[in-house]
Amino acid sequence: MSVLKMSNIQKSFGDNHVLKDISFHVDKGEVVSIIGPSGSGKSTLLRCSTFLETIDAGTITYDGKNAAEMKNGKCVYAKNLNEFRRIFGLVFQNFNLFPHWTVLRNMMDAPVSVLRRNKDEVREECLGLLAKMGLEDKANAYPCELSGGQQQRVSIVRALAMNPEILFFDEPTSALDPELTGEVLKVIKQLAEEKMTMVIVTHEMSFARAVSDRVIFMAGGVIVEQGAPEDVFGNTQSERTKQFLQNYNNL
Amino acid sequence: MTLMTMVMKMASGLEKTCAIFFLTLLFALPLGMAVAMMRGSKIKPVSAVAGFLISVLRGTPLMLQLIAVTYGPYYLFGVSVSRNKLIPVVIAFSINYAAYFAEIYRGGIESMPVGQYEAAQVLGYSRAQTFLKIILPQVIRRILPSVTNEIVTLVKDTSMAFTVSYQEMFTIGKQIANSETSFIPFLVAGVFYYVFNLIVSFVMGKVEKKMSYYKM
Repeated sequence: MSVLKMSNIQKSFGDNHVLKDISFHVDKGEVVSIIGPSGSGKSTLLRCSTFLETIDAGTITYDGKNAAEMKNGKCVYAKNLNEFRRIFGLVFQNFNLFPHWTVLRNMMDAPVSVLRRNKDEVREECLGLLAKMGLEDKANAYPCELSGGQQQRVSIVRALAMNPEILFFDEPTSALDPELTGEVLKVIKQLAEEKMTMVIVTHEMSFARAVSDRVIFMAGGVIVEQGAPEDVFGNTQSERTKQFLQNYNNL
Repeated sequence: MTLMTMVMKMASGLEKTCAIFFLTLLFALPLGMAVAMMRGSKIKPVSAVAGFLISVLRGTPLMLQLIAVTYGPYYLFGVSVSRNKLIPVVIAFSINYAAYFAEIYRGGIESMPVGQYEAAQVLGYSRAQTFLKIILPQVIRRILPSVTNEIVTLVKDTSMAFTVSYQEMFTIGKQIANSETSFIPFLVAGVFYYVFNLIVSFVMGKVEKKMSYYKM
């Protein structure tokens, strides 16, 4: 069964029709990368799937349950959206860590005060996650004391501390320099090897090619092409995709 | 009257000056938050009422508001003016300062990056949790310099209580100045306010330092 299924998603900002009938699904253990030019709707799609934007029409299904569905021609969201939010985690482009809390508090607070889990148990788990990421000595540091790469790794472990079934990444390395990008991509790769279900919006083409099970190319609010990375990158079908990838290859 | 007697007489009014000061802070700081909440409410009439209150309270002199709160009940309802003028004085100061604090809070809340709300929302925090645990602590840190500014002004504004003859330090000083035809009480009052504000600045400086353990 698919962890996430989005069907016939429509989204407009005023006159700007950003998502035009998008349908896709993510299976358990699958890593899906979404690539495409700026303004193609990639980030909006991610924001719709995490309820940061409300869709105008379509169906959003997590684990077989509808979070948003069409009723009498209108899109209606489920009442218990917070229960759906437990299924996913989101890593932002600019981290959005809570600056007044230490790294450990950033990770522990939501599991304790939202999921009502045992504090000591959560602490153990979080310290374990930090150690895995090579950040064990940063537990009591504040976000402002960390490099951009470390901050992004912390925001990844903050999402992981909620034990999500699926993790979304919204251009996780776009705010980082190439050196720091590497350390963040390494972490995502590690998660992919552990069969974490992930959807990654990214401009890192070679990374998308290496890490994904499936690549989706979006342009102008529609999915132009999707398939295994070797097909999308190696045996490109659509002219629009070719044009986009060429710009990368020409560099 | 010797300088010493003047100083002692005026110092006896400091207790009341402090009463206005601390009670106003006690009531105006939370009241300002309530008004800021109303101002930012999605319910249009609530926000409009708060906006109107703020504009009236900031747009008319504090002196006028003091007189209105102290003597208004007598003229309107025939209620006799209470003997303890501390109550109307503190009410007038509190609502006036609440209006200013409300605008400071609003500015602080609006300056918060939207990403903080989004991160909290995705993690499943309720609206109340998001505000109390994530937004408010950061807002307090951001607005502290503006709040200090208001508190310094409040110290000096307590002298306004002389308009309703509340026997605080400045009122006593003004009475001595009149009876003795001397300028000295005003100098003494100036020194008192200055020292009071030195203490305020010192304390608020400490608080600001304590809160700046992180960068935004």
